[in-house]
Amino acid sequence: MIKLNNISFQYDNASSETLKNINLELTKGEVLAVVGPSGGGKSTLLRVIAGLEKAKAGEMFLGDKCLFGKRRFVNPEKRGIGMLFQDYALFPHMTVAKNIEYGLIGMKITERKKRVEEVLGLVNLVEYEKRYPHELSGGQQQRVALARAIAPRPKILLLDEPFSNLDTHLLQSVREELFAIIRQIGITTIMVTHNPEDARTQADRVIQIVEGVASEKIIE
Amino acid sequence: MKIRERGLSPLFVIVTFIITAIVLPSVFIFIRLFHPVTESWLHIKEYVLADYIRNSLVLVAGVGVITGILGTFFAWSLSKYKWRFELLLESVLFLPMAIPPYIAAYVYGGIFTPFGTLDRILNQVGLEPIRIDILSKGGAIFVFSLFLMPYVILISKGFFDKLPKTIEESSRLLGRNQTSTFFRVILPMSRGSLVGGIVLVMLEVLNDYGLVRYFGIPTFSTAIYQTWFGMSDVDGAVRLAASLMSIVIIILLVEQFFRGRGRLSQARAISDRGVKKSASKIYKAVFYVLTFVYLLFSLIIPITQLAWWSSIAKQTNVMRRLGSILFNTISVGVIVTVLVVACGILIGNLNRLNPSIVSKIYARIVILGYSIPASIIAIGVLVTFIYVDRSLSGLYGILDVKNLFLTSSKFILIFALTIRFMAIGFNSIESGFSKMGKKYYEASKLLGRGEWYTFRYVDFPILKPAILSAAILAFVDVLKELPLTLILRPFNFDTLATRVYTYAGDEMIHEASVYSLIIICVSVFALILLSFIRKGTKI
Repeated sequence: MIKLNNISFQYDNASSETLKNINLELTKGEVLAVVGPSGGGKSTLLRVIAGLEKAKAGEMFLGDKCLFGKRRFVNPEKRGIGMLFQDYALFPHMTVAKNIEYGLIGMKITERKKRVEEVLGLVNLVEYEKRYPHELSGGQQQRVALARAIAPRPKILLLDEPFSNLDTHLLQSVREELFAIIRQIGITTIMVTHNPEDARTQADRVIQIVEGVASEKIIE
Repeated sequence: MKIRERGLSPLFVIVTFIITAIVLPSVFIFIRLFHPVTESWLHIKEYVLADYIRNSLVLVAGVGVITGILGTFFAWSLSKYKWRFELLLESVLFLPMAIPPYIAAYVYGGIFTPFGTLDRILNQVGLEPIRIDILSKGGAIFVFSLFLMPYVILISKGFFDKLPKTIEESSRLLGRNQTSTFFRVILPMSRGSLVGGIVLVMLEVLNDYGLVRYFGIPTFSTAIYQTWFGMSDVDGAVRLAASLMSIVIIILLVEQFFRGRGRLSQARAISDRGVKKSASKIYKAVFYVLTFVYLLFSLIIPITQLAWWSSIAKQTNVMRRLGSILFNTISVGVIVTVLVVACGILIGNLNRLNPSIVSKIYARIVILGYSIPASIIAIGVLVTFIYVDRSLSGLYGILDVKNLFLTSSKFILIFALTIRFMAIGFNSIESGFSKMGKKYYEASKLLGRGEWYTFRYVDFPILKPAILSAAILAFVDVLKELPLTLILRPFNFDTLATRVYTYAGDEMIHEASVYSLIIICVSVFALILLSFIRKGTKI
C-alpha cells in the first residue's frame, strides 16, 4: 500500500538528520504503531509521509503512485492522505458539517450531504452537524476530526499522538471506539504514540524510532 | 470561591467617579441636542452636511480597504515565511506609526506642490514637471494609508502568530492548495482581528483634524471646529458631533457583526513549534518590491525631506519660545500619563478583585472611549466645562477669579486628554492584571498584609512592565495629539504638535520640520523601548 525507500530528512536549522534511511512497507488495512522517545523523529516521519515536510533523499510510493523521488514531490493536497492532528485542528469558524464537507472537493451537493451523514453516522455524531467545534467535548471533537479526515476516502490515515489530549479515564473507551471505526472501514493506518499501551493493544505491527533510526519492535 | 464585599468599597466609589467623568461630556452633548435648532445648523444641514458625510465616508472606506489588503499581506508574509533580516524588517515596518498623519500631510504637500521638491528634482535632471494633485481625497487616502497601515499589520500579525500551524496543514491534507486555504480558512478565522485593526484605522481617520484641514477637505472634524470658532454656534457644533457619533456607532456595530460566532477558542491548540519556511521566488519578489516601495514612501522620503527642510530652517524662528513649548509639552504629557496610568490601575484592580456586571460595563466604557473622535470629546468637554463654570459663577465672584475660569485653564485640556487616552493605559494594565490573576494578592492577604502594602510590594513590581508600556504609549500619544490640544488649549499655550500645525499653516515649513523631527524621534525611541519591554516580559 505505502512504501518508503531510504527516506532521510533534515530540518533547515538542524545539524544532523532527523530521519535516517527509513525503509517501511505497509499492506492494505494494516495498522502500524510508531513508538520511541520524544524528539526521536516519530512525528517528523508522519509529516514527511503527508508531504508537510520535504524529504532530503529516498523514494516514496502510495500504491503505484510515486509521491516522492529524485525529481518528484507531490504537494500534500494532491496526495490523498488523511491525518488526525494532536490538537484536532478543526476549523473554529465552520460547523461540524462544514468541516467535514471541506475536503469533499468536486462532489455534487447531494453526494456531499450523503457522505457527511455517512461519516457522521460512523463516528456516532449524527445530530451534531450544526454545532461549532467549541460547543463539543474533547472526545467529540476528536471524532469529528476523524470523520473529516476519512470523509474524502484517503488511502492511508495518519494519527499523531491521538490520545495525548484526553483525560485518563476516557482514554480506554475512546481508543477502542476509534480503532473499531478504523478496523470497520479497513483503512491503512500509521499511528505515532508515546504510550506503549496504545501500540500493544491496537497495532498489527510496531516500529521504534530512536535518533532517526527505525527498527522493528516485537510486541510482547 | 469568591469573596463578595458588602456595601460600596472605596475603590468602587472612586472608579464610579472616573467613569462618570468619562461619560459626562457625551451626556452633555446629548442634552444639548434638545436645544432649539439654530439658523446656521439649518444652513449646514441644507447645503454642506451631505458633503461632510460623503467626504468622511470616502476617506474611511478608501483607507480601510487599502490598509486592510496591504496590511494583511504584510502581516501574513511576516508571520508565515522566513525572510532575510527578519527582525530588522519587522521593526522597520512598524516605524511609520511614529509619523503622525498631519506631519506627513505637509511633507507630501511640500513635495508635490508646484515648484516643490518633485518639480525641482525633475527640473534639475531636465524633465517636464509632473502634476499630481496631492491635496485631494485621493492624496489624503494615500497619506493616511501609508502611516496608519502599521496598526493593521501589528494586530493581524499578533493573531497570525498565534494560529496553530495544524489548521493550515489539515486544510492542505484535505486537498486545498495554499491560496484556497488562505481564503477559505485563514481569512475567515482571522476576520475578527483584521476587522479590529481596520476599524482602529478608520477611527483614526475620523479623529484626524490636521491632515484634512491642510488638504482642504471638508469633513466632520474641520466642520465642528469651523462651526464652533468660525460661527460661534455651539449647538450647530453639538449637532455635527452627534452626527459624527452616529457614524462611529455604525462602524462599531458593523465590527461586532463581522466578529460573529465561531471564534478561535481552541485552548488545546498547541503552539507553533515548527520552523518557518521560505516563500516561493515569485512571492519573495512581490514581497520585497512592495516592502521597498512602502518604506520608501512611508519612511525614507518623508524623513529625508524633513531633515533637509530642518537644515535650512531659520534658527531664530525655531528657537523662539522653544523652552516654553518643550516645557508645556512635557508637563502636559507627564500629568496626563500619570492620570491615565492611575485610572488604569484603579479600574483594572476593581475588575480583578470585585468582578461584577457593573465593573465589566465600566471596563467596556473605558475601551469605547477610545473610539470617540477627538472633535466630539472636545465639544463635549467644552460644553460640560462651560456649564460647570456658569454654575460656579457666584463662587467666582466671591473669590474674585475671572468668568469661565476652568474653561480657559490648562485643566480642561488635561481632563480631555486623560479621557481620550485612558483606554490605551487601561488596555496594557488590564492585560497585565489578567496575566497575573488574583493568586499573589490572595497569598499576600493571607500572610497578613493590607491592601496598600500588597499593592506596593506585590502587585506593583509584577505589574511594572505593563505600567511602563501604558505610560510610554500614553505619553507618546499626548505628544502627537493635535485636535484636542488645538481646540482646548488656553490662550497662547503651545505644544510641539500645535507649533507644527501653525508653522505649517503659515507656510513656515522649514521651521515646522524641526518640531516634527523632535516628535518623530521621541516616538521612534518610545516604539523601540516598548518592543524591548515586550520581548523582556515574554514567558
